Formats: sequence, structure tokens, C-alpha cells
Amino acid sequence: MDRVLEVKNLNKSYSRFALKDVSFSLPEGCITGFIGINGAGKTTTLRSILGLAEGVTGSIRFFGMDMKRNEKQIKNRIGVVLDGDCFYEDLSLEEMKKILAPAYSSWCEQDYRSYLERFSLNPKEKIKNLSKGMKIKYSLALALSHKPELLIMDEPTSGLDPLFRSQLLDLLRDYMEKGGKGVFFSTHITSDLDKIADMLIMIDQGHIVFREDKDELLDRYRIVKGSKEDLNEEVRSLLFHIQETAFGFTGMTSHISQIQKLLPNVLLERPTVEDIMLSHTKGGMKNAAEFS
Amino acid sequence: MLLSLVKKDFILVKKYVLFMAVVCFLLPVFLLSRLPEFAGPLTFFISVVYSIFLLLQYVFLKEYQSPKASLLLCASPYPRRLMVLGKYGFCLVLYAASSLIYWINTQIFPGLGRFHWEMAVLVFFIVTIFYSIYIPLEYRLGFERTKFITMFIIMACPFVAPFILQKGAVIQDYIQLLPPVLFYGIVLFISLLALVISACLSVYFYEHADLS
Repeated sequence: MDRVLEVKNLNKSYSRFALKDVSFSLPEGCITGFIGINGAGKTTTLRSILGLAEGVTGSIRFFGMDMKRNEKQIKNRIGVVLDGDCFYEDLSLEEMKKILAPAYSSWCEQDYRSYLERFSLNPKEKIKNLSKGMKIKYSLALALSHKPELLIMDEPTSGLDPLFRSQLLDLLRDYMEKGGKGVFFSTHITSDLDKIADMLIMIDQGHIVFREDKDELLDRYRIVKGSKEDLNEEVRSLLFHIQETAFGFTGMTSHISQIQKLLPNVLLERPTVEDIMLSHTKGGMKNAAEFS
Repeated sequence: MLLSLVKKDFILVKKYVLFMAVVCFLLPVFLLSRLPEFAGPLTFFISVVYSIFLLLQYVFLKEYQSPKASLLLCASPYPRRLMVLGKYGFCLVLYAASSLIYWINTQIFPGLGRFHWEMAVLVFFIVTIFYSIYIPLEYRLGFERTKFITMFIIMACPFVAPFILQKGAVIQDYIQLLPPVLFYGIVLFISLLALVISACLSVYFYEHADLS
């Protein structure tokens, strides 16, 4: 399978935060969720790979081409949704389009019109009068109207209602069916990724924690719920992110069969993406051996 | 692409473009009717400085107020280099438009005198030197800090101007020794050189700006 994006040893330092040797790749034909808590480094990573940050080291290759040498050609082939506030607010939708559209050699006015119609957006409307959800829809219309092969979105569902998020997921499915080669989608609202993502990449404190197929990841882990008496040293060593109460405990494990042998009556639940993200966040890690 | 980026700046200031055109047209007429001794090249100079400074300042203000819009443009295939050069193109278009308006004025109101190219070159020189400093400062220091520096320069002008005029009288004696074509050619060359150096500096600053 070809890779639409390959990042190797990406480093970027600020006074209080740094991306350290971030490496991952996106296979063609996948919707990839980029997860992590606020401040984990998602936005910095996205902006670094888009060439918006200064002082970035490492290799960034889109469609097999080096970003530094082929920036214009690559940017022509990707669609970017930053967030709802990335416009000149006093302009109308039509004026903002007039600014952005000439940048793309493959801009399709017909597609743009059809997206505006689909999202019920009036081209004469001022951007400042749009709700946050409408601004994201407009961002999507702009990002998709030049037939991008890869769509990169930075927290597009943040602060939006469930109906809009559901519409967005439908749109992404449509985009992939119409020949999109990939979607790279950062979010901390992981319920959206439960529904749509094929791959998951997690970042925490500037480090990539994992990059895995979502279904394999969800199959590999189980949430263990048991009574306090069950939590002996051997069980503890097989669990991480253990939370104890007066009545019992909850923990995450990847040693499913061993836990089942030791505790045949314990309750094992399939985790959500959010459960996995929280259990892999350093604040939630109780057993460092799990990562060794 | 460069034309699209010049057009972008005009879209951002569209509310004020017509207003500035009217000011450029009426200012020489107003001075001609009230203070005829000051009408002529001085009004041309003032209208060029006003129109470029106010409109360019407004473009930078809009970009300062919407930093993420610049981020979106930089994430598009627009090269940062052209985004900077678009600003210089914007200023040159404004200079050309102001000159055209003044030329029309001189055709309608002969009291303003003749529109001669020597005057156009001198005004171009003064304006170019100012913007060759101002634009790189905007890219290096940002809108807020440049605003203070500009204010300081404007406030210092009344104090520095007499000194410059005094020295200018001395220099004028030497200038008169040169053939006019050579003198204005040198002035034009210096203006264009300042523009090129300024554009290179601005491009360097913006290409190395961290937008993350």
C-alpha cells in the first residue's frame, strides 16, 4: 500500500514544549485519527508538516515527494481545514473564495457551488455572521473544491453539536468513496473516530505513543472491572491505568487471556478509543512496564 | 498568483478604496481653492502618502486581526515570497492610481500646474524610501510594535524636516550641476534598489516566521 504521508524524526522545540522524533506514516485509502489530549502536540505536528512552523527538523514526504523541495506541488494536492476562525471575518464567503481559489490549479467552481448548496451556505453572507458549525462547513467547502487527494483537518469537530459531527463523518465517507486517498484528522473527541477511523495515531507530550489499525487496537485491549480482593500483585502487573475505589477496581490490559485465566469471573469490556487514549496518556499511566 | 495576491489586499480594503480615491481627487482641488500657494506638487505628495499609508496600514491591521487567515493562505499553494511581494505590488498600484488621479486633476484644474515626470520620480523616491523601511519592519516586528515606531517617525518629522530642508538647499547646488536626466535617473535607480533590498528583507523575514 502506498503512503500518502511519511514523517520521520520530526523535531520542533518551544521553551516549554517540544515535538521529539515524531515519526509516522499514513497509508493510502485510510481515514487516520490523530488523537491526544489538549497540549499533546497535535496542532504543532500538523502545522509543522504543513510547513507553517519554523525550526522544524526531520523528513516530511507527501505522495513520495519531499515537502521542502515540492511544497507548491504538494499543497496543490492537499486540502486543509484548520478551524472556523481562519478567515477574514469582514469578508463575504464569495470574497474569501476569490482570495483562496486562484492558489489552486485544479480549483473546480462547480464543486464549490455544489458544496455551498449542500451546506446551505449563502455566498453573499458575511463570514462573521456564520455560526462555528457553518464556518467549519465553509472551510470544508474550500478545502474540497480543488479535488484534494489528502484532507488534513485540525480538530474540525471541536465544539460542534452531534448532528453536525455526524454530517461531517458522512461527508468524509463520501470523499473517500469519490477517490480521496486519505484523511488525516486530529481530534480529542474520540467518539467520532470510533465511527469512522481506520487507523489511529496517538501523541502525548510531543511523543508518538502508538500508530495502529483501530480495530486491531480495540481488539488488543480490554477494560477489566473486578473487586478489590482480585487485585493481587500478579494481576496488578498485567494492568495499567488502574483506578481503585472502595468497592473495586478498573484497569486496562492487553494480556486478555492471562487475566481470564487468573480471574475467570471478572468483567472484561471492549474499550472505546477514548478509554485507550486516556489509559495511554502519561497522567493516566500507572504501569510503565506496559510501554517497555 | 502575484496578481491574485495584490487583488486580495484590495478585497481586504475595498470599503476604503473609493473613499481614498475621492480624497486624492478632492485634496488638490481643496488646497487650490483655499491655499493656492500650496497646491501643486505638495498635494500630489500628500495624496500619494495618505493613500498608500492608510490603505497599507489597514491591510496589515486586518492581517493582524485574523492571524489564522494568513495561516490558511500559507497552507495553500501560495508561496510566502509572493504573499510579501503582493504587498509591494499593492503599493505600486496605489502609487500609479494616485498619479493618474492627480494627472486627471491637472487636466481639469490648470491652476495645479503641469504633471511632470520629474515630480513623479521625486515623490516616488520619497515614498519608496519610507515604505522600504516600513514594510520589512511590519514583517519583522509585527503590527503593534511597528505602529509605535511609525508614530515616533511621524512625530519626529516636524523636528527633522527643517534640518533636512537646510541641508537640501546645500545639496541642491550640487544637484544643479548634474543634467536633469542623469539626476532623476539616479534617483529612480536608488528608489528601485531600495525596493529590491526591502522586498528581499521582507521575504526573508516572512519565510522564516514561525506561524505555528
